[in-house]
Amino acid sequence: MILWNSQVSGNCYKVRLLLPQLGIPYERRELSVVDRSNRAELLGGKNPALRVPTLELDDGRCLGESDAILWYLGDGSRYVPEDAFERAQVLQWLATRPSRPGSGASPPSPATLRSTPEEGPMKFSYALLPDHPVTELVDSIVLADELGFYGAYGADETYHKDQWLVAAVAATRTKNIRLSPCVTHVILKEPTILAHSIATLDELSNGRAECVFSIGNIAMLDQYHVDWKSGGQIKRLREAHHVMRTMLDEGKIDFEGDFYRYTGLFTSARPVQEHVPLKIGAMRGPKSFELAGEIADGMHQALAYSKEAMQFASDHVKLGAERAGRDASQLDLGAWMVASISEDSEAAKQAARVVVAFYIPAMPREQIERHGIDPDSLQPIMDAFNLGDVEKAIELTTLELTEKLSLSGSPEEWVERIRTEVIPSGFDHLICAPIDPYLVAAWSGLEVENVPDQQGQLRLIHDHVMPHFP
Amino acid sequence: MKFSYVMLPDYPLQDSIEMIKTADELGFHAVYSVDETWHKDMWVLFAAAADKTKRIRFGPNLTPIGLREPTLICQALATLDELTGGRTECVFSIGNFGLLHQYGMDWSKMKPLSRVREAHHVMRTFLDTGAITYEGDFYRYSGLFTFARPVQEHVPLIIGAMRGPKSFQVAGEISDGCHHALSYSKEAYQFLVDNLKIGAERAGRDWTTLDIGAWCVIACGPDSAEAKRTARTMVAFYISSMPHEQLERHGIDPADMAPIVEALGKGELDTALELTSPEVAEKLSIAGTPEECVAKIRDIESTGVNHMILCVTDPAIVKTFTGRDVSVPDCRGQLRLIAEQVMPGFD
Repeated sequence: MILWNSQVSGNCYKVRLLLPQLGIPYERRELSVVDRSNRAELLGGKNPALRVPTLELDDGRCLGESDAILWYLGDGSRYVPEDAFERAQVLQWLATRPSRPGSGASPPSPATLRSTPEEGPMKFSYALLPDHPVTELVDSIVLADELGFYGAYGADETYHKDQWLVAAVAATRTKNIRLSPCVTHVILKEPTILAHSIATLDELSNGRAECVFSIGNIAMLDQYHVDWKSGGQIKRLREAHHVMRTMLDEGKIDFEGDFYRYTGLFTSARPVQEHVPLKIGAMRGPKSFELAGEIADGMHQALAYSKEAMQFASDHVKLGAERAGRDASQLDLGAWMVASISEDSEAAKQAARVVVAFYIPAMPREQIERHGIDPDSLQPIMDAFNLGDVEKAIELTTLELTEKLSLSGSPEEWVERIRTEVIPSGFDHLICAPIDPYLVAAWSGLEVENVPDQQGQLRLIHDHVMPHFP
Repeated sequence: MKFSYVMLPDYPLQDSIEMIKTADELGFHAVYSVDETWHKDMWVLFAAAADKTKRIRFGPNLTPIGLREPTLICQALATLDELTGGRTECVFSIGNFGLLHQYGMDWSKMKPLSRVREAHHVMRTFLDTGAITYEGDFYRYSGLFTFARPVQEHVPLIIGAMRGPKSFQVAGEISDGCHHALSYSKEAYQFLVDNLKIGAERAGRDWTTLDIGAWCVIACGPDSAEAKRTARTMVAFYISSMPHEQLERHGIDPADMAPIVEALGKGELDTALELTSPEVAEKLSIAGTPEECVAKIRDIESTGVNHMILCVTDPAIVKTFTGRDVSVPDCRGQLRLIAEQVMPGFD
């Protein structure tokens, strides 16, 4: 089967969405929607309208018009139901759903084309909130490795099991997946000790370690009575980066900084990689984003889900890179997201909701505003947490809020969200923390149904999301 | 008497894992590791080794609360406890003074005893309940909690101490034991045990239930002279981290050791090794044939010490530290010798 396709056409996109859902192998032939001079030559005799998408069947028959193609492909599957009314509902949806670029007789206008994002390559990584039994966590990383996920990033916060130990066990059982904390933190943890842990993990994994670090989850720092508000934290990050870079590259350090001081410190822990990537984890910005662009190998932003929030971050990373004369396109721009995926869209959102509630106190005001949310409107949720009323905090975290502050829903919703929010903002790395029934129960005591466990969600992402972003 | 192996994790990790497997098979009580920036990360190493062992216990020996946050030590411990099915313990102190010095920390101004006492409370609470709210002089927490929970009902917390006597007394008073590093004389261990008893009695505890450990450098081989020569190359390094009072408990005048420490400080390794006389090396190590090792351990045992923690000095370690070649069995060979010819002499 051949799909005459244009990468920027929304109508082609619908067809590309359905084909992998049905597991139908096909070949893609690219046509330009701007330069149409070769259309007659290529599509003549196949589609009298000379338009994409055009589906060419194995027996040579051809079909044009995206809705007709969808109907043909979906016939006999759950996408075209047997019940007459449900079938009519599908037609109703096809006729009325919003944003149908290219519908009607004329090709899409240039303006529409420009606003339609081009799908680029996207790395998918597995983010762990490591609360499950350790053997299950390791098994999940092994699966993510087999499924071709780029990295396994463990949240290094006191709340969870120690991600360094989980990564160590996983290192002995995996082949390609990269292993890193995301994020680890440099106020409660000493950067040279972090560097020696990273180097040890790099040896154990034969060169697959990296490190994403920040000052730490601010809600957690508050629990330690650490004063992170007093300023100087950008300077601290800069120093910590220098310290870790030096220890990793040279195995020793002499340094006299404002935050860190060493005399003749050395280590036998040496990495395998010539350059172990050090990335900065950030949320609020803009200075932390610019710092990452200036000195680090990338920036992972936590808890940003809107195009506005991510665009703001990537713009400032680029600014920092330009200022330092560096090529921003070489940097790893990662979006760390509370995520939940299920064929049952609402169930996925109900699962994410619990964790979204818990992360609200960790979000700076500016970050909340970049999602079109008034931070003051979230105060009752914070108050509920402060009073220890978890149930109320979760109840106050509406599904609408959950949708804004997580990547949750059906595979189709994921694809749409990535296409419309993540890619246009310049991010090329999605780091998903699947929220499953185990996490929901552990964090809240609540039960959710119809949501796969960690491994089930990794499979859904692999089967139904990753194929759209090859 | 329990016998444990303590490693300096400087070997290739796969070699270290093989050593741990060997110690497990030979019936050692525990494998410990120093937790210092100078070496590889023992937590990462132990996690990777955990599922390749059956009975041996694991733990840092020791981990420094001067550089690591106590609740974060607990998080790692609890995770390791889960990985090993309940086989961890933790020896901690403020940290190796030489290491702290490289971090610009002056331990004498850090109120080490009060700090250790508080850290013990924090770790005991966090391990036992998974949560802590606390307002101390050194540590403060509000509503901190963790999902990292140990399998064991009571993960042993043991205080590491060298100089004493107050640190020994505090260990007897509050912790599950005391591991004392780098002493080899009867006098030094008698001093340790006497003070542990004072602390235990103060708290109404039975001192004989405590884990009283001797952390010792050992070089064991069929050739007595070569084993002693091996130990001697390493003793110089340890002298610099021994408090004066501890040296005196070995009948050594600290002033006589000053030139060795000074030479090491200047990086004059050969001079330092030369200045470390065979007599001093003999006093500050367990070295020689298995029979000679047994005799020395008997002396230590007579004071009430019930746990030998042996830091095996093998050709690879000597090479790493000094560049010199020695001809004693490698680490696994020595572990075997100890298991077969030293351990059987003790109950």
